[in-house]
Order: sequence, then C-alpha cells, then structure tokens
Amino acid sequence: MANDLVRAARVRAGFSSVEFMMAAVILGAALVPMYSMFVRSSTTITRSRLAYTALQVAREEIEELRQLPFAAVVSHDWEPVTGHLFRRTLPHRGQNTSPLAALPLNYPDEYKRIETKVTVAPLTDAPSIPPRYKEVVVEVRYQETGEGSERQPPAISRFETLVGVLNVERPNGP
Amino acid sequence: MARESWRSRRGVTLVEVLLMSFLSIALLVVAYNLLGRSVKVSDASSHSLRLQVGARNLVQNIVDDMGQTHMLLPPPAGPLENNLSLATYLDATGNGRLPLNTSAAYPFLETTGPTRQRLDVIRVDYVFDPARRRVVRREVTGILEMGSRDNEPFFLQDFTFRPGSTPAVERELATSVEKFEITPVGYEPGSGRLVRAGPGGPIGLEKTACIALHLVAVEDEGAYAREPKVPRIEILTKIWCTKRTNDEMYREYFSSGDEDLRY
Repeated sequence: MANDLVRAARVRAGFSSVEFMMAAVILGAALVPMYSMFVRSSTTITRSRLAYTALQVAREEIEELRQLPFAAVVSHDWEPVTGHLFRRTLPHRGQNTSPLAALPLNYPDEYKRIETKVTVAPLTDAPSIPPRYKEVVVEVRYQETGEGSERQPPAISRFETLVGVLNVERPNGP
Repeated sequence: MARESWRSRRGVTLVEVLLMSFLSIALLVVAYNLLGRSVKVSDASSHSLRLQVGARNLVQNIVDDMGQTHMLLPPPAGPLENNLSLATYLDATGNGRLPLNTSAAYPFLETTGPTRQRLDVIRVDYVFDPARRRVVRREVTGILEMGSRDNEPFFLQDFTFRPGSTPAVERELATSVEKFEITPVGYEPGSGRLVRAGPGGPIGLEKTACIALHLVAVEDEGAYAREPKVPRIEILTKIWCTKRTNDEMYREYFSSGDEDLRY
C-alpha cells in the first residue's frame, strides 16, 4: 500500500491539460485589469485636457465681460464656443468697421464640445438709483465623451464675479 | 489492476501535447498584443501629459504677466507674430507702478517742453524657437523710459527699454510646439473700436489691450512620425491686459503715469 502510494506520487509529477487551462485562464484574468489600467489613465489625461480648455474659456469670458460697456453686460443661455474669437466684443467695438473681424481667429473644432452660459443680475441699493454693479455668474459645461446620440451628460463648472462701472464722460486722446 | 492503471497514465498523448501547444501559443499571442497596446497607450499618455503641462505652464505664465503688464514692447528678435515682449511691474502687488500725480505741478503745461518719465520694470520675452520647437521665457530687470514728442508735449509716445546690470533669467516653458502665434489688439483712441496693434496698424504696439494666443503642440516625431493619431493640444484664447482695459474703461482715474499726462 505504501509502495503503491509512492509510485502514484512519482507518476503524477507534472500537470494535466486541465490544470494548464486553469493556469492560462488565471493569467488572462490578471492581464486584462492591467490593460484597462493603462486605458483608464489615457482617458483621464484626455479629460484633463478638456477640463483645462474649458477653464481657459471661462477665464476668457470673465475677462471679456469686464471690458465691455456696462450696458453690454447681459445674460445669454448655453452657447457652444464657436466662431470668431472676438464674437462677443466686436458688436460693441466696431463690428462693421473693425478689420479685426476679417482675421482668421476662429475657435478650433474641439471647442464645440464646450458651452458657456452667463447670468447677469444688477445690484442696486434702491429702485431709484441706477445700478452701478452687476453680479455675473459664468457657467461652463463640456462634453467629455460621446458624439451625437451617444453624448454623455456633460461636466459643469461654475464661476462668479462682479462687474462694476462708473458712468463718466471720456476725453479724446491721440 | 492499480499497477496497470499507473503505467498507462505515465506521459502525455500526442493530442494533449498539441492541445497544450495550441493553448500556449494562443495565450502568448494575446498577452503579447495586450502588452504591446498597453505600452503604446502608456507612451502616448505620457507624451500627451507632457504637452499639456507645457501648454499650461506657458499660458498661465502669459496670463499672469499680462495681468501686471504696463505695455507691450517690440520683440528683441524674430517676427512680432511669433514673439511676445512685455514691460511688467516689479511684482503682482503693484510695487513699482508710478503712483498717481507724481509729476510736479504740471511743468509740461507751463513750458510745453519735452517730458520724460522712467519706470522700473521687468522685461519679459516669450521667444518661439521653430528649429527646436520650444517657447522660452526670458526676463531681465531694467528701466522703461517714456518721452513726449515735440509736437505733442502732453502725451508719452516714445518708449525705450534700458536693461539693468542683472543678467537675464531664461526658462523653457513648452516643447514640441508647432505654432505660437500672437495677435496684439487694442482700442482705437476716440472711437473705442477694437483694432490690431503694432506696425502697420492704426495704433502702436504700446496700446495693446489684449493678445490673441494660438498655441499648437504636437508630438509627431520619432515613433509618432507615421502615426495617423498623435498626441496634440491646441489652444486659442485671448488674454486681456488689466492696465489697458482699466485705462479704457476708467481713463480719468488711471491715466496718471500713463501716456496721457493731462490728469
């Protein structure tokens, strides 16, 4: 009986095909998460790029509002970032006569994924006093993944600022 | 009976060998492909990240510098469209700006002679090197001399930068840059119309109130030379100069130390 058991152990050295297939399945299961980790890091970097571009759009919007005439600081609903770079300023700064409108300064196609919304509320101490400040909320949203009907819910960021004005006459200069 | 069954189970059959060989090869092929793709994705990610960091560095530095810029200057070398030169205040808190009403009681009004002002500044140059595909930021302290012209004594219209003795400090901000284009834009006096600033334009470079920056960084060399899809970042943005926009919006309050000396 003991000799039989020893012989059985010697004969069973090595592995069967079933054991080999199980090892292969386990190895495959270990490789797949590693691959998905690399893919996920690439997706994260792409999202980071879009987020940074959207942040720049928000900064642009706020800076531009601060230099517009007070009456021109008005609300607008969600609009994609397309067209001429100075599309918001030129209507108040010589749209029809400024040669700037002819310059090739159009937003790249990727910017279509980004939309902005501006909400303006005048701040006034009393109804009889014309408002000297406006409270501005700039919202930016951007499509991270998907095109057309596969668009995923967009990511949204929100920025708030104040725009003020003093209504004075300006002299001419050289 | 047991001894015979042990003898028959020694070794493997040909079918088992073929099956295991087939499985081994299939597994190796799959693992090799996965490894190759993972390395490719990881490499593209690292290049993309490097381009992003460079672009962020560059844009953020320009935004900060434009926020404390007194005026734009002609670049020391290279075309105006691909280089940016700024005369900035000494620091972001405003130290070094000319305080309001610094001049003695309107000597220019009495003598109508030439007027000179001097301002301690830091000259910041953003230089695009197309051969090495990089953008370098260089800064040097010095003095900005502003003077009036004989026929227009009240307005400072001649600007000269004189570097100091401190050596320039240089730093590479972005690499793999394919395009670095600057379009200076300013307000036309009188009309407030937004026009291009600089040589050939209706206003001088010193009146620049905003720059349009177009930056494209692409990794299309080496292993990516023949790839259809390469790591790339493109930014088109406008960056306003705080001082110039305040001058335009509140000219009566921010003109002292400016080129209009009547206040």
